[in-house]
This record gives sequence, C-alpha cells and structure tokens, in this order.
Amino acid sequence: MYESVMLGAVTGLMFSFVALGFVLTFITTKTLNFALGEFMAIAGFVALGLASVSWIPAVLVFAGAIAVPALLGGATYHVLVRPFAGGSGHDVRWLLTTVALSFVLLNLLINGQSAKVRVLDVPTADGFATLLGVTYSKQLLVIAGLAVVVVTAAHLVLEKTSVGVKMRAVSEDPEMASLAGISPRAVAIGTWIAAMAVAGLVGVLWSSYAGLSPRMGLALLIGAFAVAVIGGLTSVPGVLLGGLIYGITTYVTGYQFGAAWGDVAGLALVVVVLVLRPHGLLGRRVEVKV
Amino acid sequence: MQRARSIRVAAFITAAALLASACGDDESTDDADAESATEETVADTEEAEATDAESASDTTAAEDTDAPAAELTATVGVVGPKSGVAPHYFVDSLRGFELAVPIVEERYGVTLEIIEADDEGSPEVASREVQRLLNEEEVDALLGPAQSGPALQVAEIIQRAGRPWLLSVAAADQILAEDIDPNWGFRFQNTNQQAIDVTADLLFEEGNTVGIFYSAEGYGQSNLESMKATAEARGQEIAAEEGFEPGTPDLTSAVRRMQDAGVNSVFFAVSNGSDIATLVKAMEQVGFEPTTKIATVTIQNEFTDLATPEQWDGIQIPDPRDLTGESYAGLMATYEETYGEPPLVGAAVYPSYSAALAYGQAVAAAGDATDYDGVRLALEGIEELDVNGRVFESPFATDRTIYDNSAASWYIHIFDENGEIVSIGHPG
Repeated sequence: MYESVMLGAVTGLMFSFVALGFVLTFITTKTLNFALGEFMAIAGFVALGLASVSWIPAVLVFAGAIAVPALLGGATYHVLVRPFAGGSGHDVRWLLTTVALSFVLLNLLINGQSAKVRVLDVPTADGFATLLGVTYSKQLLVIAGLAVVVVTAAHLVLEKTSVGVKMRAVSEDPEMASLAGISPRAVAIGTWIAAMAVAGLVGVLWSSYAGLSPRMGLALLIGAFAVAVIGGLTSVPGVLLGGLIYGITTYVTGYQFGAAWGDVAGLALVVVVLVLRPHGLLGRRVEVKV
Repeated sequence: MQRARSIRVAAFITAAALLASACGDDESTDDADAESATEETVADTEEAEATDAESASDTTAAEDTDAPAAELTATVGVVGPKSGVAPHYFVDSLRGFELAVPIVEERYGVTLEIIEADDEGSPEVASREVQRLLNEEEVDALLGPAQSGPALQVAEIIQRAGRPWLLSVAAADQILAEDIDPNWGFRFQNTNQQAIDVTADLLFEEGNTVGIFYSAEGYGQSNLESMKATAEARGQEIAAEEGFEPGTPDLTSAVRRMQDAGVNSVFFAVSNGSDIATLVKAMEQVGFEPTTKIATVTIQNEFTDLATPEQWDGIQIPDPRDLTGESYAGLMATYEETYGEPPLVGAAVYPSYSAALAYGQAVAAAGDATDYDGVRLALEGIEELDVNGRVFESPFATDRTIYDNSAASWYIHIFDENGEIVSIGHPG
C-alpha cells in the first residue's frame, strides 16, 4: 500500500502540472482551453524541430518550445475565446471554439507530422531512482518536483505580487478593475500566455519521456481536468491537493482491482466532489451578478 | 447565484461524461486498433510452407499467365480510414498497393487504376462508401477496408455484389466465412486465430504461468478473447490479464499486479509499440522479469525508439513472414525509397502489395477485369504467386487465406542490441 501511495502521488503531481494550465485561465477569465493537449503537442514538435539543429543549445530548445504555445495561447484568447465569452458570464461559446480548435490542431498535426510517435531528443533524467524504499522513474520525479515548484511560484505571484493583485481584481470584477486603471484584456491575455507556457513546458518534459505524437496530450488531459475540478478551478494550490488525491486514488484502485478500474475510480471521485463541493476542495464559490 | 448553479450543473454533466468515457472504449480507436491488431497480428504461414524460400524468381507468375499479350485495365476501390484516428492504415495499405502497380503492368500487362474511399474508421461509413464504389464507380475489385470493424460490416454487401474482394490488413476471423460458395474474399494477411495459435504454443511452454497485457480497444480485446478461448480449448489457464487505455502514462500498477500473480510468461496484446514501451519501462522499474515475453508485429511501430536494449531483451515476435528477408524487408526499403519515409505499418504494406500482384495475375489470366467470375476463379487457381521473391504456391487452392495453419512455417524474431529485428528461425 505504501508503495502504491507513493507512486500514485508522483503520477498525480504530474497531472497537477497540466491542471495548472486550466486553473490559471479560469481564475482570471472564467474560461478553459480544451485544446490544451494539442498545445502540449505543439511544444513538443517545436522542440523536435529546434533540437534537430545541432548548434541550438538545449536551453533555447526549451525556451522556443515554451514560447510558441505561449504566444499561440495569447492569440487564441484574443481571437477565439474573448469574442465568445461575453461580458455577463453566461456566454459559453468559448467552450465550443476551444473544442473546435482542439480538433483543428489535432488534424493539422496528424496531417503535417503523421500519427507516428517520435523520440524527442532533449536532455532528460534517464533511468530509475529509489527513494524511501520505492523506485521511481527519474524523469517522472523531475516532472513532479517541477510541478510543486511551478505551482508554488504561481501561487506566490498571485498572492504576493502586484501582478497577482491585478489578476485577482480582474477575476473579481473586470469593470471595477478597469475603472482602477487595470486592463482586463491585457491581464487575460497575459494569463493565457502564462498558462500555455506551463502546458508547453509539461509537453516537452513529458514527450521527452514517453514519446511525442499529436495525440500525446489526450492521455493527460482527462486526468488533468479531473485534478483541476477536484482541487477547485479557482485555486492554484488546489491542483496540488487534487493531483495527490486523484493520483493516489487511481493508483491504489488500479493496483487493487486493475488499471481500468483506477481510471474509473478517479473520475468517480470527480463526481463525488462535484456533488458534495461543486467548487472543488480548495476552490471558492463563484457568484455572478444577474 | 443563478450562474453558480449553472456552472455546477455544467460541471456535473462534464464529470459524468468523463466517467462514462472511462467506462467504455472509443469506437474509432477501437477500430483502428482492431485493424492494427489484425493487420499486424502474428500470422501464420501457409505460404512459407508453400515455398518458404524466398526464391526471387521474378518471372514465375508472368510465365504462368503468358501475360503481356493484351493491354488490360482494372479499377480497384481502396477503402480505409483516410481520415480519423488511424490514417496510417489507409496510407500504408494504399501505398503497398501502389508499389505493385508498375510491376503488375510490366508482368501481366494489366493497368490497375485506383479509386480511394475514406471509411473514416467507421463501419457505417464503410458500408456507404463500398456501395458507392460498387454501384457508382463500378469498380472491378475492392481492397480493404483496412480495419476489421468496417470489413465485417461490408462483408455481406461485397459477397452479394460478387466482385473480387482483396483483404489486406483486417484479420478478424469472422470477416470471411470459409464455407460460402461462391466466395469472393481473399485474405492476404494471416487471421487472428492463426496468430493466437502460434503465440499460445510459445506462451504455454513447460507449464509457464501466463499473463496478458492488453490495450482496451478492439485489437487488444479481440486478442485477449481469442487467447482465452484457445487456452480453454487446450485445457490451460491464464493466470492474470491486465487491460489499460492506450496512452496511459504510467502502467506500474498493472505490472505489479502481474508480478504479484506469479506470472513468468507474458503476452503483449497491444496495438502499438509506444504502449509496449511504457509497459517494459514499468517492468524494469518494479523489477518484473518474466522468462517468456511475446509481442505481435505491432511492436515494430516506434518501440525501439522509446525503449532500451535491456527492456527489449528477450521479447519474441512471431510472424508468418521473415521480417528480415528480402521479400519483406526489401519491400520496406523500396517503400522508403519511393515515399521518402519508412512505413508506419509495414504489416499493412506487404499484404496490399501481395494483393495487387495476385489480382493483376488473375485479371491477366481471365482476360477481362469485368469477368468477375473468371477473375475469382483465376485467383483461386493461382499456382504460384511471387511476392518480391517469395513464392506462394497455390495460396487459395484450399482456403481463402494466403498463409496456412502450420505453426512450423512461422518465423520468430527478436530485437538485437541495436534495436534491429532479427529472425531466429521457426517455432520449436
């Protein structure tokens, strides 16, 4: 049981990393990017292209791979989300446009790069490491560790910096924030850029471990969304809690009853959380003026 | 308040949908995998027995049909998932057929014209497209569908229409009944059951404790069911079976369960190499080292790029073709030279290529592609089919499958330390 809990926790933290991409955009704009998986894949393919140029150092490969989805994220918000999000909060056409974007990007990637799984040759932590009696994949440990660092950093930015104050102000009341000299549009675009940068980072880290393909994000997306819902879509620290609970639940159940049951248990947990606490374990209730 | 309620309802519906999706399979993925399974399932070799030798006579078949006497044209509908989740099955089926077109023209004086049809990996769409090809395009023969689900759906339509049906990748046993007369179907791939029989011989050696990892889609599940039925028929037992969704990031829990069950002989009924790579990584992580590890030819796709020599050591891959021989490997090299990239599904290329050669030979023998009965009888009567140097003797004289049921004629392959496929001979 101890081994299952520990392995599940590490896997769950990886989902937390992806889930941060959902939570960041939801906090400020009340929107989500359902093409997040494809943004991860785009980052991987950008890294693949850059890594094939021998004189480009690894750090620039990572930087480029993160920058492209980040900029695409900003553009996506401006073109495909904001016009369909309305001002009242009741307009959810952005949901359709991001889902449509997901299909478009997936088909573009498959037609352009084929469905083949490729090797992304960037520096990775190869092999396994044993900690406290449990053997882990080193790369998964790196991803889990970075998840904790990045989520903590995002939380501190949100709570302790002027940028965070602006983000929270826009989240609370865009009109009032605007009267205070804050540009809700700039904050929203900035948040989308940050969120997709995070997705890009995870995309490169994960695809360098498990292989790169246009569909690589799909396997992570459902788990990540579940983690975001469990922790609370309005809570950055919530993704860590949600990830740990989701990861441990799916792993322990999968080990006891079979892997397929692990996935079912994780999503059943989402339903339970939504019934008992619709805003998630650490999320706050969203009230909208009518 | 109203919005909070609506968000709550939307979130609940979303979660319920996610839960439902976790409980079932994605149909299209299923199909894709099923085909892949089919296509790449280990097959059995009847031709090997037939000749086994890759004799390399390029002229044998031509001599049989004293062909290039007249210019003949035949129109063939090629059906497969051009769009959808598994377009590579369509692409490689089509390209395998295309590679044979100039050879058919040169050997038999038959020009093969191709009309493509996209079944989107869906049985319903396949049904519509096949009817369009038969009734509107009036094709003389059909190649595909590439996946078992769509192929099963159109089997009756094609048998009723009475046109030669060339089955390339799809390998489900149920697609072609052997006892139909006249029977318009001809398989250029082994059947699933043939593959399972050979695999079971290896798995259950010396009282092994057998476990199966399977991907939770058509390919994996059909292999699991076939293996369970075969084990039961042989009075043997499968100690553990572990299914998982394709693309699952971490499979250590499944591997640990297999290890706990005392399994020492493992079958990877998995439709792609990347998932098998995830499994062998997990096996190394938890220290699970079975003595027997069997995979199907689907492992060829991407596996060695993602795994290490320690992880692929000892994995055996039975197949009715010698994957290292000139007939198969040479064709793959020609493919790469022609298209500038290696095939994603080599096991789809070879049967399509074989089908085109057989069909061209039969059209030449019949003298008219629209003499469907004549072409069918000519296919059944082929005495020698030369596929890039490998000669199949009377491939359809006694059944509808190019490979026979003799396990002894199959080949066992392993990966060498560089990840290259190596043939180590026949079972036993």
